[in-house]
Amino acid sequence: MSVVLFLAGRLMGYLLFGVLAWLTGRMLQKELPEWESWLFAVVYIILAVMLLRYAWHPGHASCTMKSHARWLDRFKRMHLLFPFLGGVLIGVNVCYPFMLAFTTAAEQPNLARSLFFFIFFYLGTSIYLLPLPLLGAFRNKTALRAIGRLSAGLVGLYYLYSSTIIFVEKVTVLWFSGGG
Amino acid sequence: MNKHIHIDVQRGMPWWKAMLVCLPMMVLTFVLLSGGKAVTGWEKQVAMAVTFLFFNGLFFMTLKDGRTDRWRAPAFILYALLLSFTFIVHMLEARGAMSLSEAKLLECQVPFCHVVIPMTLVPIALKQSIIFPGQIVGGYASISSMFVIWITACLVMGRGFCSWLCFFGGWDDGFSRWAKKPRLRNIPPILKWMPFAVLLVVVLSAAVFLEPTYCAWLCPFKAVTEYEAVVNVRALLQTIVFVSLFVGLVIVIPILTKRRAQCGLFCPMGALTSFSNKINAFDVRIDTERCVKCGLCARNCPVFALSDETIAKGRAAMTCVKCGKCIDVCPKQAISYHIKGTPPGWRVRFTRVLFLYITFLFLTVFAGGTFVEAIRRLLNLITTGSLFY
Repeated sequence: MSVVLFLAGRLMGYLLFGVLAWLTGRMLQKELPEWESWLFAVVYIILAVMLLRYAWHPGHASCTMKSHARWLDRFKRMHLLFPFLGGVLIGVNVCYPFMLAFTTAAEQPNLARSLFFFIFFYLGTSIYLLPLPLLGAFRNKTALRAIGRLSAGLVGLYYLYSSTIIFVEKVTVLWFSGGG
Repeated sequence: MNKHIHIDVQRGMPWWKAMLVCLPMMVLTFVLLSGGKAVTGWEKQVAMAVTFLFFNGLFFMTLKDGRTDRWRAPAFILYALLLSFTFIVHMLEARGAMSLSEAKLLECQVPFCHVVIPMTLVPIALKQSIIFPGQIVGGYASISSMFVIWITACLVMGRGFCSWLCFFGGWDDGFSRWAKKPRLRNIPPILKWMPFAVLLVVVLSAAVFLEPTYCAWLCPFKAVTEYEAVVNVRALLQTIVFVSLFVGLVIVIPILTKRRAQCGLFCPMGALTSFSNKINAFDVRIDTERCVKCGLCARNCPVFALSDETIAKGRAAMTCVKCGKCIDVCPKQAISYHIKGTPPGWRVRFTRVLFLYITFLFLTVFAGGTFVEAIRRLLNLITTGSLFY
């Protein structure tokens, strides 16, 4: 029961940040419409490089299973509300994958898409926590860790790639319109 | 705990016995290739005769000679080459170009390939929609037909699909046999998990963005089938990426390592199909007492499914593609196909013949159509000077 509440709390934390991300995106659109896509591209590049570094050297404690396991163990013995709150707090810990997810969610055109994105981010990062079917095939934790690191690297490359495209497209448009 | 298994197997069988065992295969392949109808037109008759003799000849040699990979590889590699050939010719004939225009995408006329399957599953489950601009039934390579073929093949042969049916695998399989010796031996072990990482990323990203992300950004085989027309910067960058991946993963790295780099280190479909090895009836077992731990099998496994760890356990990893290469190279004949649920070492020769019957039958039926089409096109080129009908 504590585990379920913990996971539910984590999901709630993610969804709350989904809402916050969307509101941030709307505010940027309203206040800085000309600079919005440049800003996203720059943020993506910085976070993508950080994520690639994280994938290469996985030492970021708050994103690892160890810290989650410690909290999980502690909350198992506490009042029902605490696992849920613990999940919320764990869910909103700010690591590079989370910041990238926040940035992508801020770009989405509507609130539903932001929340949808964070739900899938939740599922993707739950690989260490959820008793997903077929994960029995990966009883070996080394395999799970390797897949997690490689996935982080691929996502980092994707964001680096897509932000480079934004830059190239924008520069090309500026060049051919005479910088106007 | 390691169970000792004793495999008593002799390579091959006498030619007359191999011929007898081949007879049912010849009848089945004749009926399935012809569709039970009389074949009209000399070009089609010649194409069907050549295809029939080619596949049954290879099956006969597999039984007589006792080696599996040696006789599987020519059919598998040729299948990949001829599939690309017939596909490209078909696209040129149907729309005048290999590249896809936006109009064709909107018409949902794009042929569906099995590699898209993992990306379509979550959107189908959540939104009952298929995120691919293809035809559900009918037409060229419909979505439903590829699903049926893939599911059936997985149930019957597990990840053997990747060595007997996948019409892309023959490319890097072929290039991996190019060099005599590998130039690059030490592949970081973590990379063997890359296909699963790619699977996770493309499945989740496809669900979020409702786009087949692997096809849009990563598939190297667009270089030999079809691709989006290069009309803007994004399409140009996508083209650079997939051509680079084809050159790197399908040509250069297989030549340098003598391994199937795309299949063993990248393909998300291979990763998904690996799970079917858990439910499939056949697996590859190692007689740990007969094994002298020379490591030849592990060094030759094209998809990194064998290591000191798996050899000690007496079985290949779940990523095994059942190509038979380890069985062929083992100097002590310590490796064999095995039916799950039977005692280790149970009727090894029968198990091998049963497995080969299933795989060759599938290969002949599905690749046979491509062979017939390719031969017809080539005969048409010789007689009329054109590849088009």
